[in-house]
Amino acid sequence: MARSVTHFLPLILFAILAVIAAIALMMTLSGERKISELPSALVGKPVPVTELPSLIDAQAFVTIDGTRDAPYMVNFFASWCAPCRAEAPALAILAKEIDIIGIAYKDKPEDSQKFLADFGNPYSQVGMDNAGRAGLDWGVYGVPETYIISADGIVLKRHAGPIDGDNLHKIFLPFIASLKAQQEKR
Amino acid sequence: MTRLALFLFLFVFCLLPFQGLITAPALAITAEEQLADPDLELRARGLSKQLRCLVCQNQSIDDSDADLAKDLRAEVRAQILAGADDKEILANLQERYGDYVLLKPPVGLSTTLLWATPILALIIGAGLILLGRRRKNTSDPAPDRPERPSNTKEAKSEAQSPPAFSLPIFMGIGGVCVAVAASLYWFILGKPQLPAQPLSTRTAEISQTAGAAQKQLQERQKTYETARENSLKQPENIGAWLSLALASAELGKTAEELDALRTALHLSKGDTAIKSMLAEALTRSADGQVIPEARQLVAETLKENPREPRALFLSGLALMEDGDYQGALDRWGYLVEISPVDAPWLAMVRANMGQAAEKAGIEADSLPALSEQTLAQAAQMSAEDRAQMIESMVEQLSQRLQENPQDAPGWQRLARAYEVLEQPEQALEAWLRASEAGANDLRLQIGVLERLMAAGQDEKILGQIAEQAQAPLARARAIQKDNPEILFFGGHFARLVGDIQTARQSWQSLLVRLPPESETARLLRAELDKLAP
Repeated sequence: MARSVTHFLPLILFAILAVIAAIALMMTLSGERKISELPSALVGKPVPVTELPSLIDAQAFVTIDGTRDAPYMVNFFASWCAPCRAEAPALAILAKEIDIIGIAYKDKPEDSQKFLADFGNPYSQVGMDNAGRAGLDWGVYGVPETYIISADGIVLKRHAGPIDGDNLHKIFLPFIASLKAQQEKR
Repeated sequence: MTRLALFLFLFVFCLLPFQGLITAPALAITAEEQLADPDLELRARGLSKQLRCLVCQNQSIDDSDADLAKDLRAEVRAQILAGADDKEILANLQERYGDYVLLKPPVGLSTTLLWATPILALIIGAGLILLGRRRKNTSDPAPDRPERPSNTKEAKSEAQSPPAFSLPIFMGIGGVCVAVAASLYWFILGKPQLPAQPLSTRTAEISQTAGAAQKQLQERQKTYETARENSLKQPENIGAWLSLALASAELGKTAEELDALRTALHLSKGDTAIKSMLAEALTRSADGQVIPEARQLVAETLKENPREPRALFLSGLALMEDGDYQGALDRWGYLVEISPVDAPWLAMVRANMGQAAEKAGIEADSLPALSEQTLAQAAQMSAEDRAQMIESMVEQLSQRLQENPQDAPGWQRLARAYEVLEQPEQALEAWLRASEAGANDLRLQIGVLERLMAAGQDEKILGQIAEQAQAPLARARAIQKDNPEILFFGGHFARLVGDIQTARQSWQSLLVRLPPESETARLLRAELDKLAP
């Protein structure tokens, strides 16, 4: 009896491996597991201190350095990025719920301004990151990218890619609602 | 078996170093990026090879041409110049981009299993081998079996060999599984009816298509130039500007199309149709995003004319963008409802509705629809859903037919809908109206007569049916008097009203036309005999 078990051992191991591989494949195919989605290093850490020239007021600077009265969002966008156009309606809805700081990533100021005029401006402030330095600090690897930050300056969530109707209602709005509820408790 | 596995293993691993030769990396790094000091540059290259490009994900930043890789290379060099050592630079980037940025993952709590796997595999393998040896040793000195020295080898291998059935049986089962999976795959995805299309046989076809495309482009160019001239000659003519917009759109000249439409809109003092055309062009120019200006135009258009199809379609699109799938569905459903049956946009609207329904998690079956195809689908739906869907459809259809009673296909569709709803009287009524509307269609008349005959199974309404059949019969006779089917129906319905003489005449002239030995002829003769004199 013991003999036959060891004899089948490779087969059993293979079967286990095959099942694991099959589950992973099914999850990928069904879209549950997203292989292109990268883990973010910033989640749970304080925001990287960022100071950028303002797009709207040539004299002013936009500063992101931690604590604020309420949770806020940072959104990297660019006029040359098609998905950024796609998420404009979602950002307009979110702007009613939460303060959004925009960062124009590797974009010409006049193009960014035209973009905001065409697609609406959901941002309370807009910083210009022409060289993409701030993007490096935040670990941005493609626009649009969105971060939700707690009132005490900790990055809570990072979303790479456009916010569409789906994840607006399934992820963002519920998350922001729960943040607000937490704050009211305090 | 083991030898084969070992061979495969070695084969694969020996090939790995050559992989780089087969796919030579692109030389991504450019001259202006390089540092002046060759030692520092060497360090930078070394570091770049250890960092992953997060856009391409399976290339190092040294290999990648992506924008981000370029930035990261510059960042690495900037930090080298600032005096950071290699460890610090890697740690810095790891802090921002996570472990993922390192092509060689660090040894840590979360990567223990990854790094320990080879060692574990070695230990398990060694353990298995040792286990096998020990078993061999214990079974070797068979106590109560006398052994001849020459036989020892055989005895050993016998003792060592597994139960004889296991390996062949498992290989057999495996083989059968593979065969079954392959046939399933073939039956589901294989399309044997598709002929082979080797490229060599299609050169003529390809050049023909290319030529046609070229010609079409030239024609479009010509149309565009004419339209442009016309608009310059008659700058007050709205039509000229609209044709220019159309011609520009066909050539993909979006900016010019928008200008022409704006001019036309201005000239027309805000015509709603032109407004919605401009909104559509704006949407197209933004890759299908309904941008704020387009939304504004759509809203204005719908305020003035709530039935403008283009504006309705775009407003549905805008709702869908905002994630209001139900709203989009309602909007498009209304558009389908008010559109003529043969409107060219219906297919597109339905496709969009399917998408919206999928997103909203609504079953596409419950969408309003009018085509025959959906009617056929409806036959397979649950009785309740089907009835509800068809009832709403029938209501729209019959309303439209009241306005346009000459629509024979419409009456036929209505009749079939009533049949699916199991309302035979209404169905028959609709069939009669169809017969009236399509008086010149012989097939239609025969179809109507067939249905009347089937309805005549019911004794109570027999007389009524026979009377109703007279009009379609007369129409059919007017089209083709001696059609065998018409002769048969003529006899049948004449007999029902008791007109034996006409019935006999009809059937006898049919009998002459049938092959005398055929089964039909035999049956008909029997029926003729049954007719009372």
